[in-house]
Amino acid sequence: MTFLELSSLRKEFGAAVAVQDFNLQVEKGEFVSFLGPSGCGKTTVLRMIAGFEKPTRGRIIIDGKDVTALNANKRNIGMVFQQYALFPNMTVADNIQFGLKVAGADGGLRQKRIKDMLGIIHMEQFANRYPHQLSGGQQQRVALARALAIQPQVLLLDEPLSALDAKIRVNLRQEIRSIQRQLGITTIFVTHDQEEALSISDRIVVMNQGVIDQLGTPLDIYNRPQTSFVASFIGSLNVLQAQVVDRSAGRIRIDGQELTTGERIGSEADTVTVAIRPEAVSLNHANGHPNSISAAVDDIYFLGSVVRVRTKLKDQFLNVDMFNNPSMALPARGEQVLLSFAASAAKVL
Amino acid sequence: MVTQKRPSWLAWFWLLVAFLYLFLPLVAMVWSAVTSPRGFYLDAFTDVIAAPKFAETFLFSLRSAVFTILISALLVVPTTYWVQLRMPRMRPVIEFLTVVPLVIPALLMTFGLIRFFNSVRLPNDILLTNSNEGLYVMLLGAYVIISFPFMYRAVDAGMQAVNIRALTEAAQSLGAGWFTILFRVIFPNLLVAVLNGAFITFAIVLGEFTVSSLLNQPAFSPYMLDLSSRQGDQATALGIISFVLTWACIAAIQRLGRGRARVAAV
Ligand SMILES: Nc1ncnc2c1ncn2[C@@H]1O[C@H](COP(=O)(O)OP(=O)(O)O)[C@@H](O)[C@H]1O
Ligand SMILES: [Mg+2]
Repeated sequence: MTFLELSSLRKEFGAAVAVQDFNLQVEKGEFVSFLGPSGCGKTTVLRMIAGFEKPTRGRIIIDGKDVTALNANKRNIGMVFQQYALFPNMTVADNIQFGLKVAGADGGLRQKRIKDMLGIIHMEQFANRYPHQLSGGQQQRVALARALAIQPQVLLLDEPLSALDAKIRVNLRQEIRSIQRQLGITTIFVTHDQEEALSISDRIVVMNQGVIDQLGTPLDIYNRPQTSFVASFIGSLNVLQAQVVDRSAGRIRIDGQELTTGERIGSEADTVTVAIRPEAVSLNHANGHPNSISAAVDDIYFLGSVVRVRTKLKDQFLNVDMFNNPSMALPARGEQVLLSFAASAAKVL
Repeated sequence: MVTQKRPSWLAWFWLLVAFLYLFLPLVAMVWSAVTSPRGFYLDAFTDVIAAPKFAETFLFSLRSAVFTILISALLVVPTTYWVQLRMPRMRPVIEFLTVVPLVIPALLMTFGLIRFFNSVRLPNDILLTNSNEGLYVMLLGAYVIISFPFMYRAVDAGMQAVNIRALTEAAQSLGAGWFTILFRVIFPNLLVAVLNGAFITFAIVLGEFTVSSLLNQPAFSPYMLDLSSRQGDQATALGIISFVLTWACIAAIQRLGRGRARVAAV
């Protein structure tokens, strides 16, 4: 059952259109990420849900109730901001109970909720600290507790981890996800980091220039990108230009070498864009794959658990990812190699 | 921000010059007030403190300063907040307005005030300018105008330092209305800035002469002038005492705000 519904949302700032024709239905308890480059309108959509921006057009419905015209302080939505935005003049406990005090909750309930929330974020011993006495990660956890303390219908997080360093970022995103599961709260999480979105979301909304480019599960988005924007934005996909040779047989030519794609070539165009995942290509190892093309090794990058070999066809580059294996023999730069992959690995966009 | 370079001897030299420039007159004042042909004496000081008008006028100015600070904080903080949040394009206009009290002489402003309010009658049919309360309100009004540039600039700087937009939105999403946001979130976090404005306002009001004397109010400065025309020694002593008292009061305000200010400053 749809819990949060955005229908035909549009937002203009003067002559500029920040968001257009945005449609989304979120289930109760679902964790949805908005993913896209900076400036694509993620924050604007979130701020419209929160009530900080009035949509130019469209409707926002929460639990069957149209809240489009409602002020932010009447919406019962929890929000966590990128810049921690804790009240500097209040202790952790006072920050957490702020919303309850505003709502006129009695002291007993407030104390209980403070205790519960501090337990959830594992910060029981920090109740009397001030924000400036906390690390960035701790501040963001308190901000989360403060937002959750009012038991909001929807939780909104706007790049909550982007000001933190890498290690804390990974830990905290898992913590956010597990708290979200535990409370079953409907959540929208904004990020420009594809790994973050892929790792914790039920569904991902990939946005580009104010519109939804693709909406799907992380696996969908990663394995079946539907536009060249999604393909190039997600992962380290190889995106290549190819000429159509035989439309019905799915034969195309890349830099003079022919290969077969798994997909039908629908359009009448002579050139198409083809996406190939770097981990779907094997190096000097035919594996029974129908597609084999030759290329020259251009460079080799060591990425820890993965080794990326950048090869050059004629004009275009194609990355090949291999698991790091101590006994593996790496090709030398400039060496000619054979690249093999399944027909289904070459996706026509 | 941290520079490793040590200040050179030249910097120390100029610092010394500035220091002497500021403090030599004070030293000279103290010197002239405590010496006489008969040698060292403190009569001028004891006489001043013993005079009933001293405490009377000083307390009058003190009270006026406190009212001025309260009124201007209640006026300036919400205004500045609103401008920053909703009408950032109005900032240059407000900034221009802050210059006006500095370029219009207090004399002209007071005449303007008197002329403007001359025809205003109180509910009991007494002319505003004929009642003592009326004149006192006008005095406070003038003080608020005079201190406005300083209070505004202090508060404006304070608002730049905290992210008021994010704090406002955080409070809104937690259900808070404007009143709660203003008095539970914005004011407490601007305490340091308001205090900074308050120090200057305090010093201005305690030393203010033109308006209080034109409105015929028993303020501290006119009393000092009156005294100097009769007893020079005592006026000098009064000057020194007022200097010390002003600093003491400012130190007291600072103390008062410090505990919470340290929290809010970060
Ligand atoms: N208050 C505003 N006034 C004018 N333009 C804005 C405003 N807020 C956002 N924009 C514009 O809308 C677009 C989307 O911004 P935003 O939603 O913040 O993107 P994102 O969060 O994805 O980085 C940007 O081009 C931005 O410049
Ligand atoms: Mg953003």
